[in-house]
Amino acid sequence: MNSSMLQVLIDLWNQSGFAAISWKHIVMILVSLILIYLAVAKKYEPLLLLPISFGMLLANLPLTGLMQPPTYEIGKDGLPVLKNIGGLLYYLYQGDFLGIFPPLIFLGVGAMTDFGPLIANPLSIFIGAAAQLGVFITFNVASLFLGYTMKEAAAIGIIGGADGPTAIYLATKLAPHLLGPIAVAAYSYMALVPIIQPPIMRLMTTKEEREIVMEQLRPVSKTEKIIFPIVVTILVSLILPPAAPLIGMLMMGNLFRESGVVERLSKTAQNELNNIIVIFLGTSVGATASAENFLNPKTLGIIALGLVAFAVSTAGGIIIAKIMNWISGGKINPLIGSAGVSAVPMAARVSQVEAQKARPGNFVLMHAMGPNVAGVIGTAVAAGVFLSIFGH
Amino acid sequence: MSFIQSLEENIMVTVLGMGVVFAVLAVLSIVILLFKYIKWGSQPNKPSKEMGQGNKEGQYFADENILVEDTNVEKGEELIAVISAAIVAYGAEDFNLRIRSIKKVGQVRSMWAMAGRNDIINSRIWR
Repeated sequence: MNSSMLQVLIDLWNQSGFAAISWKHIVMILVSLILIYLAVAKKYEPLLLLPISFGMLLANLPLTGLMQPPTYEIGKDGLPVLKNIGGLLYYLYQGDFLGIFPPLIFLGVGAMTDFGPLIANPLSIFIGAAAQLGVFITFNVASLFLGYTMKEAAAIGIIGGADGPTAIYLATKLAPHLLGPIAVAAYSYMALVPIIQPPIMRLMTTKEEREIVMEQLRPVSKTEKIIFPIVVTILVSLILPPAAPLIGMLMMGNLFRESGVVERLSKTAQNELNNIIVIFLGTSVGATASAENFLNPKTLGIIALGLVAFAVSTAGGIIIAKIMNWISGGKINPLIGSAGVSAVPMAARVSQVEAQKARPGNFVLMHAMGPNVAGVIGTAVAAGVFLSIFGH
Repeated sequence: MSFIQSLEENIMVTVLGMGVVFAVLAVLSIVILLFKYIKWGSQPNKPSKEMGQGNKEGQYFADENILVEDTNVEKGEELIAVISAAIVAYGAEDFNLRIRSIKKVGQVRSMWAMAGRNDIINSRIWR
């Protein structure tokens, strides 16, 4: 009796996660706990970092099988029979893998975004374009010097766009095995925008430039705001079809918002739907960060390259803002250039804070929102370019 | 693939990539620029005639949409009291400051509204 009970206990132990846990699992659990700490205590992009880090924790608890795909065996009749139904997070991950969740996040982003500042000052769109410089520079560094394949390098480079859903979308298409580290790096650096950008901004601008007061933006009519998403969708989708899922959803959300006739849909896209997708996307993306995928030198490279991408994109935006300032005869504050990386609206807030420091009373927030939202479109277009070249 | 071949391919992708990004956004920029030359059905809200009269006889805007009347002495004294109290609360007593005069700065936006906005931005920078 006692020996059989002991055997049961031994079997129970052997079937437990404690018996199967390895040092790699322990390291990954610690990494996930650190990320949970950063999300909760430091409030680093908690809306996404918390589900991502908890998904990482779940996926690294051994024997849970949460990311296991379904398994089949051949039955007596020669047809496949379901043996194991598969894990919960595996099914949630299909939303990422099939490219469903990131565009749905963009639907919510579009419903939350006011493109008025961009319509009022269309030239600011070039800042959003120049801020993609980091994406392509990092792509080159990663593929030429660090041994990443071109697809991997493209997925890493897009971190410089500072747009989480686009980074996830491109990673699932080009380098799904790197999805976890890319998502963690992208959202970590987006949370660190107020630390990464200001030194670059101050380094690249003179005090006189930072003190420039910009002219008030022209008012934008409701009709312009309604026409804008339709025109952008048609033009971008015709020029670059692979960008259509992201741009299309972004602009549909924006049309919901600006049309004023589907307030319920707009609110749902902004709140309930967006929150649900954030939970599914964050948790399933985090779950891809298994020990095998995460604990390798490539992850360290991605973390370092992500920072390079971010810094160069910031610099790219500032450079073109300085050029525009020079052409306009000193009418553009180059600090709005750093907002060309997406990270809406954090990057624009950082521009405002720096402008305020240089000249109390200066208000460049709305001017910075133009390049900021242009950066979202620019990053989606850059992702579309990579998909056109490497997506087949 | 040799390094030179890789380099050539990378340069091609970079030039093509940045070129397409700039081209697409330039097209968008041109189209958006045309928006303001088209007469749309509804025009943006313009300030009413009354509000457009701005700084006339003691009237000024505390914010874009709020018209504040400052026509009597009592209200002026209230404003001075509020400003003085705010400066004292900020620590003027510690520095032995004296308020000699209070002048209105000639700007449309209220400093109070702007200070409030800046506070909100600063509080959310690490949200």
